[in-house]
This record gives sequence, C-alpha cells and structure tokens, in this order.
Amino acid sequence: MIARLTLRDVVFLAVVAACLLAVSFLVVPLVISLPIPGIRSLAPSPFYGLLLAVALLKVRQPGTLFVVVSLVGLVLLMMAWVMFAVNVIAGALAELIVLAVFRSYQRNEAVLLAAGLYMPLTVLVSLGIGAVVGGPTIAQFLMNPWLIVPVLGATALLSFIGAWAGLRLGQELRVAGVLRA
Amino acid sequence: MFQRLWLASVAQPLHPLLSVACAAVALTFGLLLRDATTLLTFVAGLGLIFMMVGYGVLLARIARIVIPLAALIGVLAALFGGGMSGGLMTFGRINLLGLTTAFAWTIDPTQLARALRQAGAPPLVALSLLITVRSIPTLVGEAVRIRDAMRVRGLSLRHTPLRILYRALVVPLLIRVLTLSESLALALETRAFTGDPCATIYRPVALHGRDYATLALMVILMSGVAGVPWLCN
Amino acid sequence: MALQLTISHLRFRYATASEWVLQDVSLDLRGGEFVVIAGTSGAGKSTLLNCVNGSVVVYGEMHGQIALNGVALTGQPVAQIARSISTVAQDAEGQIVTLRVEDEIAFGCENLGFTPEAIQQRITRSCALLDLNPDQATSTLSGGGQQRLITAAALAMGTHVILLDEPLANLDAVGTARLLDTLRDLASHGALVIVAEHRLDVILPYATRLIWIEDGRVTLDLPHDEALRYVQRLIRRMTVVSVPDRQMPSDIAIELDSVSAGYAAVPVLRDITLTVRQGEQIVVLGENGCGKTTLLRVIAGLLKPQRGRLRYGLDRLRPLSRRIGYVFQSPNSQLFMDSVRAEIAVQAESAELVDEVVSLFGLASLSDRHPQALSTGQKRLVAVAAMVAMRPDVLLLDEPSVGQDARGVERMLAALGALRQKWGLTLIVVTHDWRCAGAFGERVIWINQGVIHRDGDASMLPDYFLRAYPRRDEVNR
Repeated sequence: MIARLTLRDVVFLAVVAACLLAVSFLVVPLVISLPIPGIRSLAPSPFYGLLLAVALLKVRQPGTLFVVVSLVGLVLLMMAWVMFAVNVIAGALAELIVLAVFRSYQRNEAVLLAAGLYMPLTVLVSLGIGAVVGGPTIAQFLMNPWLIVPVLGATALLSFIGAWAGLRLGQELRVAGVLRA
Repeated sequence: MFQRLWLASVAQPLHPLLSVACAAVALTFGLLLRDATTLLTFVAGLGLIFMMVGYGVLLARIARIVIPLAALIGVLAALFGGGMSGGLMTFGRINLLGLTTAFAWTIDPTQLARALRQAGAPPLVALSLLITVRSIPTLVGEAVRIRDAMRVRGLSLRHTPLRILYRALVVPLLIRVLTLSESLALALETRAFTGDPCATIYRPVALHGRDYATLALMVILMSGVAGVPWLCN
Repeated sequence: MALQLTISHLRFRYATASEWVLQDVSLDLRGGEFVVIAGTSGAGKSTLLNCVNGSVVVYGEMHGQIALNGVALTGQPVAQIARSISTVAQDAEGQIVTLRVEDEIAFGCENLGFTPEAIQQRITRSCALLDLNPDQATSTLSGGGQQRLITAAALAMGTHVILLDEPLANLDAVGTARLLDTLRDLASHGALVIVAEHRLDVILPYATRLIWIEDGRVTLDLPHDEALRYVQRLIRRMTVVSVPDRQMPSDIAIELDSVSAGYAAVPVLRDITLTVRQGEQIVVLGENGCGKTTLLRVIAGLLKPQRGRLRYGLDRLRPLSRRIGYVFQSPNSQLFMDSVRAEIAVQAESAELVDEVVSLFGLASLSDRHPQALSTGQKRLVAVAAMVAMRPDVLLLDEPSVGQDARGVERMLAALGALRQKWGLTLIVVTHDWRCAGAFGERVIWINQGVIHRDGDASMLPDYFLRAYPRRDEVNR
C-alpha cells in the first residue's frame, strides 16, 4: 500500500499532518474554556475535513488518509498515546468503510465521505476506548445517547462541511495548476 | 517547540522504542487485571520503577494532575453504581493511563526516528515523522503571517463576510503546505536521499544499562503481580 | 583537477507557459571557478541551476546537453546527480528536514554512505566555518541561521560542484562575509561554485566570473576585474526615474519620536526619530537584521514600540489598515481569492478604483487568472495592486523587485507614480537591489544596527552600494 506512494506524496502527507497538528494547537486552546462536551473534537473538525479532502484530491490512493492520521497520531504518541490509538483505528475504519462502498478514491464522493467520516469516527472510537479502559461504570455513563448523539452529530456536521469546502477549494487549486495530482 | 518543555523533565530518557513497548505492555497488562487491589499494587509498583529509573520529577508532575482527577472520576463511578470496588478500579485505571503517558512524554522525535531506522523501518517512515514535527513551527509561523496579512488588509470578524474571511485564512495556509512539501521533497533529493536502507545512521540510539534494568524490573513486577494471586489460590 | 561542467545549447520552458525561459545557453565551466549568474529576469537564473541539478526537468521541456567531466547529466535522477552536485535552493526554511543542526548536516552525508566518524568531522568543520551550534534545535534558528545551516548541509557532502540560489538572503554582513570567504576557499581548492544572485555589489569582489542572462541567453561573460568595473559603472549611473510633482502637499504623514522596537528585551530598532511627509518616496537601506522590516512593521501597526511615540498625521477617521498599506516580502500570505480581479476588489474602496488599478498595473489580461497560477513577479504586482485599491495614504513595500524583471519594476514605478500624482501616495520601500533603490529613492534612509546612519537623497546611493568594494577588494588578491 505504502509502496504506491511516491516520495513527493509522502512528504506532502507529512506536511498535511503537521498542518492538522498546527491548527489543533492553535484552535483548541482558544475554545477549550467553552463548556461544550466534546469541544476538543468539535473545534478542529472542519479543518480536518478540509485538509483531508485536499490531501485525498492530490493523492487519490488507499492509504493516504491512514498515513496522514497515523503521522498525527505518532506525534501525539509523544504526548498522550491514547490519541495514537484513536487516530490509527479511526483512520483504518474510515478507509475500510469508504473502500467498501466506493472501491477507490477516483470519485469525489469517496473523497468527501472519507474526509468527512474521519472525525466522527474518532469520537466513537474515543468513547469506545474510554468505555474499555474506564470499566463498566464509566462505560454505562459514556453510552448515554443524550451525550453521544449531539456530540457525534455536531462533529459529523462540521466535519462534512469542512470536507465539502476542501473538495471545492482543492478542485479550484487543481484547475489553477497549483495542486498537481 | 514543545519538545524542550518535556524533555527538560528527564535527564536521561529511556530508549524510545522501549518506552513505547513498556507503555503498551503496562497498559494492556493493567487493563486485564480484575482486582482493584492487584491493580493498585501494579500501579504503585510502576511508580516505584519510575523513581528508580530517574523519572521521579516527571512522576511528581504527572501525579499532581492525575491523582486528583482519578480520585474525582473514581468517586463518581462509585456513586453511580460501581460501589467501592468499582470506584477503586476506576481510580486505578486512570492512574495507570497517566503513568503510561509518562513513558510517552520522554520520547524525543529525533531519537524515535533514529531508533525506528535501526529497527529496520524504511528510512522514509522515520523521515516522515521528522518532517511532520519539523513542519509544525513553520506552519504556525505561517498562521501568524496570515493573521498579520489579514490585519493589514483590514479583514476582521466583525466587518468581513465569512466567505472571504475563511478564504483569507485557509488559502495561504494550503499554499504554504504545498510549497513547503515541494521544497522539502526537492531538498531530500538534492541531498541524495533515495530511501536506501543502507544509508549510514549517524547517531544510533544505544541501549543503556538503565534500559535493561527497566525491562527487568517490569518483568519482575508483572510476574509478581500476576503470580501472587495465583500462588495464593 | 580537470573538473569541467559543459552546458550545450540548453533550452527550457515550463509546461504551464509558452515562452522559453532559457533559449540557447552554452557555457563551459571549470573547477576552481566561482561563477555568479545574474540577470534581470526572475526565472532564468534559478531555472539554469535547476536544469543542472536535474530538479526542474519534470516541470517542463528541456533540450540540449549538460555534462560533468564528459558524463551526461541529462536523464539522470536528481538523487543520482546530487552525488556530484550539491544544491542550496531558495527558501532556507523549506529545505531543513530534521530537528537538530547536527542531524541536518549529517543527512546528506548519511545518504552518501560516509562513516559516522567522517560525518562527525564534517559536522565539526561545517559548524566552525558557518558559526553553527551542532546541538541547536533547527526550529530556534534565525533566518540567517537557517541559511547558514542549509549551506553547511550541502557543503558537508563534499561534492566538487556546488550550486547556490540567492544564498545571501537573510544573512547579515558578518554572515555574508563568512559564507563568501568559504565559497572562495572552496573554489581555490578546485571546486566549481555557481551562485545565482542579484546582489552583485556584495558578491562580485569574491567571484572569478560573471555571467549575465537576459531573455534566456548569455549576454555577458566577464572575468573578475571587468565584471567589477561593469557593475560599478552601472551603480554610478543610477538615476531616480520618477520626478516629484512640485505641488506635493507637505503634510506630515507619519512621525516617529525616539521609537525603540523589537521582539525581545534588547530592541532591534533604537531611538528612531523620523518624519515622513505626504508624497515622499523613501528607500530604506541596510544590512539584514538592521531593523528595516521591524521599522515597516512598527509603521504598519503590527508591532508596538517599546519606547517612544508614533503619530499618524492624515485622516484620522479612517482605520489604520486603510491608511497604511503593507506588501510583505512574500506575497503568498496575502493572496487568497480565485481571480486577480476579485483579489484586487476584496477591500477596494470603489469599483472605479479597481478598474483604474487593474489598468495602471497592466493586469487586464490577467484579471481572470487565478492568482496562485501566476509567476512570483506577477503575484507581487497583484499584491501591490490589491493593497493600493484600498486607497492607502502610505504604502510600505518589502523587497518589491525580487523575482521581477525590469519591465515589472518599471510598471510598478509608473503605476505608483501616477497614484502619487493623484492622491499624494507616500511610498516607503525596503530593498537590497540597486536598480530598485535607484528607481524609488528620492529620499534614502540608511539604517545600521538599529539606528539611522544617514538620511539623505539619491546621491547617497552609490555610497551605500559601493561601500564594500574598496575593503573587500584588497582582501581578494
């Protein structure tokens, strides 16, 4: 899988990962004081959708999304290893779902789905890991639909909006000759 | 950027791959423990190992945040139907999470990249980690430049339509991502990088005595914690 | 040492353009030479270097032959060519790959398969030559430090041919002298050093040969002495192109009173007292790090002075962003719309002004193009036009001639001159380029180490640009 990615592709994906991290570092501290549950996933969601969509437009390969989010996770590994696990699992899931539905990334709908699906999946995976680690009581607490549905819904909404914007922007830049596939 | 903050806390970190392995193994092992007492013993044992290996200061820093948090969540869990044992389990697990994170905090990206190459990972994998970490400050710098550019252009949250504001933020950032990656890819090539695994590794990461000691102590701890209840039965 | 790099009938054009950037370049370069490639066009110099190291071939169509010691380079992959030819490209920050200085220098050596001991030696030597600390994190380096690092990384590879593209950017006087000394030494030991540079006043005293590229061809090929005389003549003949309108109002636009400013405890700018009147055209000169950009940032309101007072004279009712326009050194951060026309219109004062600006800057043919698809010179014109469409009273330009050919600079000059007649546009230009200084410099301010060294008219320009010649020339032979 990785063998089909060229040197230029891998470097590009590494920089995209850096951009995601940079945006998170800038945005999350700004909103962390807001008393909204799941704000840590909500705030960067549109950017994740956007950047992942652009990355997938440039490198339309299975594995692109996985590489980007794994690199993000690898850096976060050096902060809080849970994020690495969340990223890798959510990334793999997103890719598997999209490839099951579309078989490849040639269609823009596939790009949109993958880029939009990733963040909501991280919310689900985080909840899952929280439930496993925390034990049965915490699991009960976390599996509360009043908690999950709004957070998941809001994250998905922001994420897909970002992905859609990224798709449009990416195509604009491709037409301008800046985004060389 | 943030590397210096954390590394400052540990004078001689363990081998990065060992740290990753220890964190993963300790966590998995700890999660499998069914008994609150065993779990808490294990966690305490890990804490001791930390202190013996020289991570004492880091441990203190983490403990200051994690223990109160764990206590809070533990109490909540106890109150919400877990009872005493449920509460203690949760307390133990949150502490375990905190401790294993400490292993991760001491990893230096450069060391990790070198260790990965020594372990036989393709050079490109190690390099992409370095490139990601090294690009973060550059992109943060670009974000600052973008903020200045917006000020100079008179764009503000209050007066500018969202459509334009969003473009002013996002387009230059995307362009910088593209120009940076092209520039870096070219730099790799002009320094004769081919992904050849036979390239020299300038400063290989060595396994020191303390790495072996940590490994030994971990094994002893885990077998002790697992073995004692078994012996007692 | 019979090192020989032969370029035969080289032609190149980019896939996205129709004109040939290089039309017919033939050169015979030998080991021991320190060659400077100059020219007014923005693209030609870099393209030539990138043809030699093989990096630009994928982006267009190349004809002709390049051979090193008889072996053809055309067709080889970049990483293969890099074993004999090392490159220091523009955008220093964009070439640093690792997190520590020593790792960065070691990287190329690792790829060439040197032993760790050999690499250690090279690191020590490079760091001593270019004043670097091997343990330092690359993210903490200044602009000049980054430039020195990538140069060290290329030099450590020990190749016999070294290409450098605008290596003096961000280097202060000491750093410049160090780098040029190092390059001259390398050449004297048999290496072939090729530098694309527009700051000829600084580099020619060290070089052995000047090659001038104009319209894709070699128009000049001069050895050291003749090259020096040629450039000195050019500098002495500088005349200011624009003529001030006698009826320019002399209201004070900006006043700085004992201003000190900077980013840390020790200010970069110290005790600056300066009055700028409406309609003036000022050029600010000085070494990298002397505070020129800091001055612009203070005037633009991006940086608060640590001491002293800053007063703006004109039209207090308008917000500062509309009174002062500031075009950065790199236009990319300031361009974000999907067409040139939309870009100029974003914060324009009126639709009529947009039309006027588009025609003044000659952008009508580009008005539907995407700004990101343009060349560097065109982007800069668009950035200036967009800023001007806000009808600022004062316009600050940071290195406006970089990447521009002579036509681009003339066009900018004419447009800004017309606007000056129209509403008294005041201009403050920071530049290293003597052509640009000559074009805009009615009033010249020379900043040295954070203070105003001299403040006068265009007659000061030759003093500034020729100041290095007597001293360094003595050292040269």
